[in-house]
Amino acid sequence: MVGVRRVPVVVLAGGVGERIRVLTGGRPKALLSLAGRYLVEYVLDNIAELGFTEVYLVVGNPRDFEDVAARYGRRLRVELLQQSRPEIEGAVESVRGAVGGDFLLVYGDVVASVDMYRELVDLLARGEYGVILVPEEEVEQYTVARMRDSTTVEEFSRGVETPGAVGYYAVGGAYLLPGEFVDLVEAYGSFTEALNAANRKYRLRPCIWSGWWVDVEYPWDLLRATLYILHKLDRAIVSSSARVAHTSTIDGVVVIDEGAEVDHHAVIKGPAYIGRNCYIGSHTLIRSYVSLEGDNVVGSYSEVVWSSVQRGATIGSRSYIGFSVVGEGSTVEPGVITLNVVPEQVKVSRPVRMERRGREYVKVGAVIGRGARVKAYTVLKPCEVVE
Amino acid sequence: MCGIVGVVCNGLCSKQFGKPIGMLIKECLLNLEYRGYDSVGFAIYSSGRVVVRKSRGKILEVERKLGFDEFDGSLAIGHTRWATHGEPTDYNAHPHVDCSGRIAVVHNGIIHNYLELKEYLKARGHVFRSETDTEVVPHLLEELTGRGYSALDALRELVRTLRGAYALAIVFSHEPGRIYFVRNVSPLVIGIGDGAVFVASDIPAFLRYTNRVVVLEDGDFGYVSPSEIYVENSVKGVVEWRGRVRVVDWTPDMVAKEGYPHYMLKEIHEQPTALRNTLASIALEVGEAVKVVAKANRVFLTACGTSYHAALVGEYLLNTLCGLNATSFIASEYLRYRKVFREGDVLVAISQSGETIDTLMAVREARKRGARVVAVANVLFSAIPRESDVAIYTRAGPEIAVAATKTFTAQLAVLLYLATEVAKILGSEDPDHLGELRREMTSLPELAGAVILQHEARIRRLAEKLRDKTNAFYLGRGIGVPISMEGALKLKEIAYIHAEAYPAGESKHGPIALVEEGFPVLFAVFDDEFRDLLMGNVEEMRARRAFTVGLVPRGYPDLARRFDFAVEMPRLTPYAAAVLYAIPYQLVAYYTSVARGLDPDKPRNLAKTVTVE
Repeated sequence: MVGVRRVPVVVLAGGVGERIRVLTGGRPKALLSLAGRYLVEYVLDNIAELGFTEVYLVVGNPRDFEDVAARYGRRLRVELLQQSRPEIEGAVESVRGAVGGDFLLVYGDVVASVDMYRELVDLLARGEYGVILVPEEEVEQYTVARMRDSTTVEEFSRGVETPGAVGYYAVGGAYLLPGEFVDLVEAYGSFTEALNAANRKYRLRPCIWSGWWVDVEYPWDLLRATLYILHKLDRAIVSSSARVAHTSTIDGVVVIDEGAEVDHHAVIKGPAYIGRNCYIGSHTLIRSYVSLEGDNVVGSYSEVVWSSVQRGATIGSRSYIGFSVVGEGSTVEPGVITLNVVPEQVKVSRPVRMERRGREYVKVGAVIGRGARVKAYTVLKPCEVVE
Repeated sequence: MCGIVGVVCNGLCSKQFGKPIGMLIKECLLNLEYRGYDSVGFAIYSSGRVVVRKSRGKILEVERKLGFDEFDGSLAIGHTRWATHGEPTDYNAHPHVDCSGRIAVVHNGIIHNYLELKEYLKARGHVFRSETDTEVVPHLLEELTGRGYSALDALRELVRTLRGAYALAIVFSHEPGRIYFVRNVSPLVIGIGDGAVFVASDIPAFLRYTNRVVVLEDGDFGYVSPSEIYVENSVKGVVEWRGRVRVVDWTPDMVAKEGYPHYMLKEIHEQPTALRNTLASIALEVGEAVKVVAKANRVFLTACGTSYHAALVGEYLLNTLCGLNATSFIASEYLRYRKVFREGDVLVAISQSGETIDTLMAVREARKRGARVVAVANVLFSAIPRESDVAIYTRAGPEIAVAATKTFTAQLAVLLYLATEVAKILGSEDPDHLGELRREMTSLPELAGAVILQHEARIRRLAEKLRDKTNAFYLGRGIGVPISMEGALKLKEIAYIHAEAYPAGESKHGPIALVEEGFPVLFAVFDDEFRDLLMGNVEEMRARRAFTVGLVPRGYPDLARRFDFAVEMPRLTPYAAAVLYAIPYQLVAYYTSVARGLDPDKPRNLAKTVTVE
């Protein structure tokens, strides 16, 4: 463990995320908000918890991340590096000069338990290199690894040719690599080829991760991430500066942050997060796995279930928002309904699956883009995107 | 069932190994945690006195409280406990000391006559502080040394006095360079390292430091010091231990988790290697066992837990392939066969550790009655192989997770090999068919890898659905029955979901009354004569809207479609396929356990090796 502190961690947070652009509006994906904090903070928390102290955060525009870096103060020395070229290859090349020897490479948009990274720390102690692999279905969209046996990776590749192919593990977004990897990326011009080269030369030990893990790629990945993060809460907290009407009902693990207001007869069922300065109108029902990120208004007589509502979004009265992602600063006018049961014949990547009363449902609500406006009394179909 | 360890270094441990002795003993204990984890403790000889620290809880939970790393010295003993006498509490934790605190003892096993000894010692003025059987040992030694016995003489007397199973490591503060030990029934090994000597319940404890091992026998006692090892046997007298030194071929790497979050997942993934090693070595060792079994009038198979399910598969193989009169029974029930065993019978005793006490007792009983015994074990030179006429070994490597995985499939491979060889001698099966079976067996390691690779991700998803269930059925016919029983046991022991397995034809005689909408029913469908009958049972469950999961042979898409969730398996004869069918069920149990937020490596109330009746 002595060596841990000296090994630098490179966090890749420059990605804008084409598939999620409607929510980010071109801002970095790692700055999407989850239970009142940025996505990338969950990654940085894990790194700090493991005892690392030196972090290089590779970003598109360092100014966006200045407050994140400052927040860690002396616990983590976060240095911001500007990504020179787009794509992951460009990101890796930007650490040249900063990183000399072995380093940990971590994706800033993967939310997982700290135990996942612990596997790499164990390898570090033994002087080996490794990569986290996750048994996932639908591996088409991930960087994947095919295994030769339980201790060797045969080959890394970007996705797979045939959809639904089996025998591949998704790369979990955390690697322990030799310093030379940066040169390999430059020499091969491709991240996966560099991984293959590093694997041939140094042998990257596969670490299979069986616990929870969310790679935020699609808007509704945020919903699964919300589930896991809210599950980690262990008690209800109501900030002293929040105003909670005495006729409202708070049930289960609910966090109500500073300056939030819950009006009369509202019902909040945990786990849920009500961010700073949010307003919950009277008679509104907030059900499990809802995260209101801050400065949100939910009008009266509305219902919200398992949704991620980004900062500054407004949900009008008498709306029903379920399994949906509501982008920053957007406005949902009164009476909007989101349908969310995906019909069987429709294929959706990585939807929310849930079982109720013996039936399995595939659920995805609407995606309401950053700054979008949904007209009053609109009925949004499952997976509908409003820009 | 507990783990004990002792280490004595040539000089200060921090000089020898670069770490304080407390840290070293913690490491050793972590490798023994599979033997029990109710409480933990250690005693260290430090500047003229014996320091004892102990607490209830798992090692890593109480690590800070005990402050392992603060202690340096040249000698230490440690203990990780699985309670048998007295609750798991701080004061019942080992080591136990005498009245003066000069003798510290760690113990694995049970002392049967401790109550009478305790009365006697109490009458002599000794003060007991715990409810354990162990505490009589330090007081008895105090009594003896007080009468002028030397430490070694006191041990001789101790061995004569104690009844029961015990492995002991003992420190006397007036002999700071030696760890004394005694072994009777419970396992104990000596590890001879560079500048340090170890005693431990099992080899993984010190494997990082040495692979030169002396396995002790019943009645052995003596002491170890950096310069000297002395072993004496209560019956045979002084033992020439140098001839008994063995070099184990496990590498320390083999007992580390190697990047897997749990030992169980690692061991599931190691099955291709385990099968390859087992099949390679079995061919060389099986000859004698084949002769014994082929000459048998009747064959009994006995084991406990997972190994019992292997025994059931063995019974099926010996019945159907060899036409032998074979019966299996659960080892703890051996007494009912007392009058049944006779000359000409063969008992096949299966135990991963080779130390399972119930199985060992059955072996002793059978031999007493003139039956011959064939042992199948994973641990070389362990008690059951030593006490049997013939031993054959699975070469799965050490298994740390409490739930057996790779040793089960390796046991199946061994039994399959044995059965085909016996069938060849007896001429009970068509040679062409046996040849085909042999070819299939050589492909098993590769296919096991393929099964894991193809289905792990899907089973992880399936586990999300099983997470909230409270019951499950595992059904099969023929060889699928024991495989289903093993699947159900895995789900019970690590995911804490109640699961039941029975021959599928029994459904309508009772159990189907439990089935309601969403009730999980898992079927093992083989490419055999029962296939269509079993599909009838599937329909009967579907009609009641059960959630059906099927392991089905490849090449029958119609079958696969009739399940809510189907796992396509390589299409082999059922005998060889059985080895592979165990694997998806292991993954189901593992991922369900993880999805429920449990630790699959440490199921509550269970220990890896059961050495108490």
